[in-house]
Amino acid sequence: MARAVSLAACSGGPVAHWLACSQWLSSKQISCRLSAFILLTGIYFASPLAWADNEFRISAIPDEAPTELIRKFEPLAEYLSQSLDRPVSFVPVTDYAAAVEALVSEQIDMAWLGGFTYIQAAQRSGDTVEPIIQRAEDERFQTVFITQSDSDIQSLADLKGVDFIFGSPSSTSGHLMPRHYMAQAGIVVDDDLSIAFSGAHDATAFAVAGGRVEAGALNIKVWEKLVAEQRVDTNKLRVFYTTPEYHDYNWTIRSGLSVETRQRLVDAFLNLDPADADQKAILDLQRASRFIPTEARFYDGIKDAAIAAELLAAP
Amino acid sequence: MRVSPKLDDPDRASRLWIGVGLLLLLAIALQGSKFDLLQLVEQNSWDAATDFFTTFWPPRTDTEFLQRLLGAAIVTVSIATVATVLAMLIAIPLAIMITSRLSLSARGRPMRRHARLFRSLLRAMAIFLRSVPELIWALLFVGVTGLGATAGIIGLLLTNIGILAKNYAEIIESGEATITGHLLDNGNGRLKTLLHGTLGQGLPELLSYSVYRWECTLRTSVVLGFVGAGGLGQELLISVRQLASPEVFSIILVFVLLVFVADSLSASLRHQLSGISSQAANTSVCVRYDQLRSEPVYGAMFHRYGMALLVVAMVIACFGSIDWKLHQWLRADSLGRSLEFVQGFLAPDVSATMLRKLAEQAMETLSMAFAGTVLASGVAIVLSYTLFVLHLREEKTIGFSLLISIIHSMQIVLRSIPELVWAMLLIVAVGIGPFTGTLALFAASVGVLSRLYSECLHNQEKHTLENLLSNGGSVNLAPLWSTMVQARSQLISYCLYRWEHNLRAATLMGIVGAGGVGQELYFRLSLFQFNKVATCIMVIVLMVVLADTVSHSLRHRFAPSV
Repeated sequence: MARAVSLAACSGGPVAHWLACSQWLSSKQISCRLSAFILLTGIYFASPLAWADNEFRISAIPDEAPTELIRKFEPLAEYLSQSLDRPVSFVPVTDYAAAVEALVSEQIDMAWLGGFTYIQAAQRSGDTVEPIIQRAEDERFQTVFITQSDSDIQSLADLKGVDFIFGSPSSTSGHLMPRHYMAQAGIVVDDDLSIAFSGAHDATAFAVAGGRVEAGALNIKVWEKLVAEQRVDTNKLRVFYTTPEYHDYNWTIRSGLSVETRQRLVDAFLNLDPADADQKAILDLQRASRFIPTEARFYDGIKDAAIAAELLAAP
Repeated sequence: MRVSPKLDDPDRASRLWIGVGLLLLLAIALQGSKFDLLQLVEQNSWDAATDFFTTFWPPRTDTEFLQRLLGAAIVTVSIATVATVLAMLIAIPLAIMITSRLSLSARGRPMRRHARLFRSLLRAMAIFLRSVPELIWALLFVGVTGLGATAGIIGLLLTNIGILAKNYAEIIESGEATITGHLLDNGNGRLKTLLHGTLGQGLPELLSYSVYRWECTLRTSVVLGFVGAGGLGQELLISVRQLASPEVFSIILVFVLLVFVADSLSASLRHQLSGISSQAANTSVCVRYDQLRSEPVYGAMFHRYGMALLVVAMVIACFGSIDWKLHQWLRADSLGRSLEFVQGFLAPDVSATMLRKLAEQAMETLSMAFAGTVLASGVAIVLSYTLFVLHLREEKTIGFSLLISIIHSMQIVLRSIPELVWAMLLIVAVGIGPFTGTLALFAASVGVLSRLYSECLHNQEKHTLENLLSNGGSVNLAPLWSTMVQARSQLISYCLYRWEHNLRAATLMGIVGAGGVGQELYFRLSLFQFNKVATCIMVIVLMVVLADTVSHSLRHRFAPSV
């Protein structure tokens, strides 16, 4: 920097001379374009864009399409802002790891994480983030393995040598747990299969349906939704294995939130009342019958599975 | 009368072998990139693609959305401007330190050993900086700076420093060596020599290149949506992921428009700058100085300072509009996390499994880059040749002008959209895998190469062609035996440059699922396994540096004149 300054100071001679001789800055056309640009910038700054300081920010791992996420979380944000007495905004992120980083670096206050992403966040924050609440359904979550109806695959053991697709690398039900149960069935995922990642659960189903891979694993809830909405053809696809139950998604808060805020959040979720039409709508969007408190220790199994699969460093 | 002395091509054997070798390589590359055009017409792909692309029209144009896009466009411009300006500030001193032109110790004798060592170290650093793609730098810095514009700016900044420092040094070295030499020999200090000798010759070119780089940065910045850098890239990424076609189309339109404006702005700036540099070369300093004194050019002066002020204001506005989140940087835990990342580089994972997997994906990357470039080059040659012949015919029928403008607008669209964005769009139709990556590289390269090839054909000297035509040569074929032969080495050199570029781009394709080494990188980043991330980055840097070297030597061999 000092060099640049001295350069500018000493350059009186040749540089000023060059500038004076030059015509490059005199184009009327360019000055018009630049003025237009600066005008636009001015308009932009005039519009209010600053974030309110006391805003409570929530986010979620993008396990489904972002519009779906926004549709799903905005009514909840609205509801929470009443309980917390402060504005709540939903911040969309572009991938799983980004949600973890945002929570760990305290850019957001609370995130909807999967089991594995929660474990990652806990490890990266030195165990200062805390899972507080989850859907009743998340206590017993499952993964389905799908293949084409006419394929020869009948069980996990038949997966040797096939092209297989997972969801996101950081997904619990789309990667970690299916990998775990494959390993238990004696499959060495990295050696016995050729694997790819689709990025999201619905994308996994479409990839198998499209015939580009022979089999894949996805979140059972998303599978049920796709079937119910007839977005996949059950004549073409079949489930050949469903995993045992495990703990999955939860709402995790960052470290340093006040005890009062934490309590208000827990109460707000627990008090969601299916009898109230508005609150029923929120529960339906979350595909939850009700919310229940959760604890860090419920995720020890997932942590062990992640360490065994070498997806997480041993502590 | 038929005179037929046997006009054997003395190089026939070697040409034949090169041709066969290229075809063989192409076959291997097509195989390696799982190239399968039938996949495009499969029922499933077809359905997905028609669903996605037929809903492009009409684009979303409600005021709220357009306001958001305007804001995003301004963020994109700000990020590109800030990154370029900062990179210039760092690259200028770096280039001055790299070049041996201003070395005092090297005057009339070999350079001192530690000076030479220091210069090679800086040069290696510049190479490393530009070999790692912007997006990878940005992904790495997300941990330190948090999500947002800062990580994106750092990514663009680091790569730009490497590119600018290299090119600044080359520009400085392309100047007349005797002038700086004399100045140094006569006892002038290095700073004086720099200001009066080096800058006097190279400034227009230096500025011109910086402006060009700004334009390129603007185009690349769209991929930084992946790190939440904001701007059009993030809007696009979100809309593509949700398959919201009308939004995608609007964003692409705005982006193409923005790139087009930046393109013409930068072209006109550079045009004026090149005018000055030729003027500077032809006229002595004294003459110009006298002319200046004799002409009262207050109007021009007013414009000049007005413009300088506007540029400064624009840069300041850009700096001001960025949310730097500096408080994120100084936190102990952020620093701790970045340390974790550095540690990964100190102990990279070189286990056999990891290396085998990377080798496999590296082959895929190389195949994608090669197949994409060769196919695009073939199509681009046909396109630009057709355009050339159409211009030659000078038939001003509506049909012809329509065809020409269709080809032109296609070129603009193809090259305005970065490869990675093409990959995101094509993945909807083609699905994950290297085939998508190859098609994406192909699409963007056709746009760029056909434009470069067209310009190149038009710039060739026309005597031979006119001779052939006046002797009855066919308009369709005569350029093949004249213009094409003249342009050959330049065409090859453009193709090689593009291949280099495509290889860099191919290393990123895996991030969106379009195959190659980016897949492993993204996987390991998602798992925060920095020692494996380090191995991936090293493989990428190795490939890029190798490609640079190979392309450099091939250019020397086949296109010595360029």
